Amino acid sequence: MTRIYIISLFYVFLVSCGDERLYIEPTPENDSLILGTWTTEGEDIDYGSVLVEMRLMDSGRLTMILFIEGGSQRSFPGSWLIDEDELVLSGRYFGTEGESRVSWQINDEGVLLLRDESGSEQNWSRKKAIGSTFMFENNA
Amino acid sequence: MNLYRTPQDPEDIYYKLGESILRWYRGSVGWLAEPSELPASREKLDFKDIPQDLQEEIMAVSIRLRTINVSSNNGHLSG
Repeated sequence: MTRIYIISLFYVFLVSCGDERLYIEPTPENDSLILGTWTTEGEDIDYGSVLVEMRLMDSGRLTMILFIEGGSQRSFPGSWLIDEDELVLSGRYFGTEGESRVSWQINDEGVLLLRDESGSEQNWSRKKAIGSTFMFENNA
Repeated sequence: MNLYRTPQDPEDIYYKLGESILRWYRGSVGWLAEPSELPASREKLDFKDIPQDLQEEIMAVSIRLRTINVSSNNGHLSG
């Protein structure tokens, strides 16, 4: 009896660890989950610490904001849409073509994972508003 | 920063980013960029000597491709 119980527990554990439970798949029903403000950060050899904020609005507009060490910031307006399972980001921030197509997933920790066709990945954490201040969640 | 121009076309700006070279030139709708080779005859530029609107563009490209990517394609940057 104990053995059956342990096997059952192990089975439940395996099922709960399945890939389909770890990620939110990009489907039309889930597209709205990507709405909101996301942030990521890094260390640039020329600009120092950089925080990038990506605001995806339900109007289809977006704003990319660069916060540079020392207090300066730059904003880049643009637009976004979901094309099948790809996130299409448009605007001057996105380079010479003005467009970036990436696959996207939101993992079980709420981190937005973007991957382009070259294999480059970016991890974005959702920025949450608490009262009149903001805090970062899930620093990548 | 690895910014360059040539005496022949002093308005054009070359930027070495990883293994990639981008050349910016003025088009009818603003600055345009294209992949390029680094010209043999070149002089180094300071970031502050570049027009303000191009500074923003170069900053965006640099940060987008170099700083916030977890991995890149063997140093070859696209975009």
